[in-house]
Amino acid sequence: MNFITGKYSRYVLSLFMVIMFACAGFVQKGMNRSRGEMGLTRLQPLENAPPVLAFTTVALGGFRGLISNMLWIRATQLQEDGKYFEMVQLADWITKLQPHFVTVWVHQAWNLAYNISVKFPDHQDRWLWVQRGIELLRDYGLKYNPQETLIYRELAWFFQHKMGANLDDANMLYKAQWAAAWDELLKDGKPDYDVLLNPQEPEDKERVRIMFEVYKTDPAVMQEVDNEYGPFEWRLPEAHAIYWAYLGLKVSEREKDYIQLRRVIFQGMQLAFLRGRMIEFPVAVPDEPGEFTSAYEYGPNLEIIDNTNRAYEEMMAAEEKYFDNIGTAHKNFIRTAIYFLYTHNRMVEAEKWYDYVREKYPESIETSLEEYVFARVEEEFGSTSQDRLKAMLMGFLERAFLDLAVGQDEKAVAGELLTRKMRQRYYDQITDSQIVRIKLPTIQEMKAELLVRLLDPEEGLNEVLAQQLRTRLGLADDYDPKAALGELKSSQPQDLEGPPAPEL
Amino acid sequence: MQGLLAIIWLTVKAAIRYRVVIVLTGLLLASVVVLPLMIKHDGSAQGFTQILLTYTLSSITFLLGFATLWMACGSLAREVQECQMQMLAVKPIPRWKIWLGKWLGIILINATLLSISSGAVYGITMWRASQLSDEQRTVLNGEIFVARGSAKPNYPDIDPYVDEYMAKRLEENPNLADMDPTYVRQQMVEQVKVAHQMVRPGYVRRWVIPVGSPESVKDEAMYLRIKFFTSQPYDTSTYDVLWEIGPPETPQRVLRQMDISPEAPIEFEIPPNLVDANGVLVVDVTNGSQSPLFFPMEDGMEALYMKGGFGWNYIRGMAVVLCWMSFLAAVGLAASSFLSFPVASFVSIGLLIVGFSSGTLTQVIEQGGIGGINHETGMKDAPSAWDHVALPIAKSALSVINLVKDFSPVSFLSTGRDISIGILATAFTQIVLIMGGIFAAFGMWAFTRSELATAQGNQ
Repeated sequence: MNFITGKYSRYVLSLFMVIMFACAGFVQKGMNRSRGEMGLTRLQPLENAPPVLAFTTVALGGFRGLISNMLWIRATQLQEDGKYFEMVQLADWITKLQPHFVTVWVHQAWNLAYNISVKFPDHQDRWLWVQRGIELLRDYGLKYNPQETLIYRELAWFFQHKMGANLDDANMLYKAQWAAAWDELLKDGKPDYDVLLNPQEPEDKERVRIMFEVYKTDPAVMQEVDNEYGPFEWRLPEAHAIYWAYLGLKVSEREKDYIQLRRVIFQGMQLAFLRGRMIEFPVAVPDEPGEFTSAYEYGPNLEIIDNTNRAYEEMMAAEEKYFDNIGTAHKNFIRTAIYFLYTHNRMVEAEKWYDYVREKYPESIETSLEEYVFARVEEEFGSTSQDRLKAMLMGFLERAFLDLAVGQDEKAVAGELLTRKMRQRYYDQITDSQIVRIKLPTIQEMKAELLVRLLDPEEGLNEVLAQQLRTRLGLADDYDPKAALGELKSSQPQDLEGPPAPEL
Repeated sequence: MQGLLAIIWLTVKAAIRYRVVIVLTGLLLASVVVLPLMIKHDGSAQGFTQILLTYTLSSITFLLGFATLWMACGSLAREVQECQMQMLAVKPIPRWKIWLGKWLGIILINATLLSISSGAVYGITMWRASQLSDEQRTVLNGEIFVARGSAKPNYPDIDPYVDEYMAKRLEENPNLADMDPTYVRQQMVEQVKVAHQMVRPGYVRRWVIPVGSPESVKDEAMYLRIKFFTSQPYDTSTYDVLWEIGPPETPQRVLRQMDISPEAPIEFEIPPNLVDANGVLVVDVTNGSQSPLFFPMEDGMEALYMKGGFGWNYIRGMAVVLCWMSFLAAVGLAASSFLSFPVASFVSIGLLIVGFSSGTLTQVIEQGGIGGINHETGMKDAPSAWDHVALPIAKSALSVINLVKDFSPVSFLSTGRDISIGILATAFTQIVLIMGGIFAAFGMWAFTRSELATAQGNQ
């Protein structure tokens, strides 16, 4: 009794309290596991939660819902008033009060990345909000719900749709910012897996650390994705959309939702096929003579047709219920691939896929290869799809360059004229307000982009053809295609103040 | 006067003796230091500064508010309960002076604590701003560390138009006379307002905003704060709008094309010196989209211009907070003048809760009563007997509460809005003199009449 009321009671009781806390700490982990295994709680105990969150979720009990409601009301009211600066904090609190409620994560992240971002006229401000939306899902949502298919799907969608598509006026800024960030993490724009998987130098270790800690991206999984579906251009958002969808398929448990992730994969691959190759070039920094920064343009990636095809076939086999749906997408992809290959002068491959599609989907093409391609060109002539049209125009210009290199000048001129007409037709069909968002590069820009690739000693034309092209175009010996593209881009007016007049 | 000063000093001494001042100072400073480390923000310097100011100043107000109520209730009720007041009351000093001394003493303590904590917030905010790049500091100095005045377009009085329009419509359609006249008039008002709010697709509408003397805003950047709606609810798409701002047909007129989103205010900077010689800012809006756009008369178009520096604005904002604290002190003291400490605390907090629930009162008034509403109209179809009682009570309660609540110093400071001397004077009059005065008068009366000798000491 003296221990409780005596002189040393407070010390004894304090010691007792510490011992009890320590004991509780020892048994807590086992109890949490047992709770999960025995199904004593509807929710799994929180894992990886910081102390504040763990305390909040336990201590508030049923009142969590009430507090969460108050925070929702405040968030809605502030949003209506246009006061966004608290939204990231409120979203953090709301999700942490309901950490296993997947739709709460998805809704809050969507709100930040989609609803709030577009309220800012400044594109740089929008990018901040898109990043916050991605971070909420990637850094926190997945941390507490590592097996939730819907969170992976949503995250992949942000990359594929918000950043990858052109529905947001600021999409080019998103792409450029993302490309710049990943350009620093990759060597020469490509993942050097030997180094990334076993970094030795401090600089390499730092790159890998940033990939893991900032972007929550594992180079080993990137390699798997590349092997399985790629190779991808990791500076583009679609590669990351595919990464998260692939990871979701690997770790999530809800098989009935797998189709959503598979869709992201094949849609992402289609995008990568249409414009999954990046052309980097230097651009002069305004008001800083002699200073250059990197800028990017995008072109079709015809190298991934084999892997994309294989991915479709595997998904059709895995998802019998959606066999027809995926089959239709597969068929359309191959049909597009055929005519892209044809317009890019890759006749052998075009014929190979033509035979393949005729065998697999006999009703899909009932004409000869040439007739089919001409019909598609005619169809695309009226297209207002920016990516598809750009890829096709680049194909025509490439053919024109090749014709020029081999001395078929008239054919080359005809090809370029056709390209110009198709570009003009596109501009005639879109409205002034759409021009900023879905504008096409000028013919000069497209030509300069093509020359970057065609004159590349590793990826471009063979040495003889490249030299012939240089001669026919009258290019100087020291002509640097990347510098020329940068110069051309710098000389173009930045059309932030209004739509530019279409160039002819 | 000597007696009053003695009571003030006693109150302050008591607060120091009970370590209220030290504990509160510690708590307030801790909240100022710890909060910035914990809060998440959008990643921009202005976003961080806004949330820093909002959260730190709000927590100071919250902590100080509850401490004030506690101090006010304790200072009188406990002293009576512990028979200390009886010793004081037998001195040659009237009871009302004791009460007033207590009030002023608590205000003095609050002023000291508020100065320390808000000074710390100011210091931390400025220190953090000094770490930013020049570009970010320029943005902060233009948008947040500033006291910006507001100017809105002068719209004509629409009542005569509404009367004329209503008469015309009644003539055309006599059946309208059978409908609820308030409802019909409201519809007419909205239709007349549309003429001042709408920009049709492909059309231009001009807004003329009287800003004031062009000299007062010379070479200072200005901001346009706009808000518009479309016919689509919860619309998240963007609309192409061309802004032409400045005196028409002059070289300084600027053009800006923007794709902007509806339903929430958008603020953007416009170059200086666009106000004409008459102090008017002309804004032409061309709707380049396919949908009509509605800029509400209330908050659709607003020009924000530089009016003063942040420092004085901040001090005025804190003075408004001090007015609130004074009011809370009066409430606590009034309650403890005739109630015991626990009951007085309970009553004071109850009053605070009623004050916070002004949203419910507003809803009752807007819906025209308590209980079920018609979801088509959002109103009660026919008021019940209860509503006849509840509505006047809600209306008077709300007007009294709004006397205190109609000021948002924290919000104004975090958005760089000017808290003018006029606003401060109104706040002082409404919160301290009128509302605080009512409670003070009641408290003094109750305390003068209370029989202190009947209080049972617990010693």
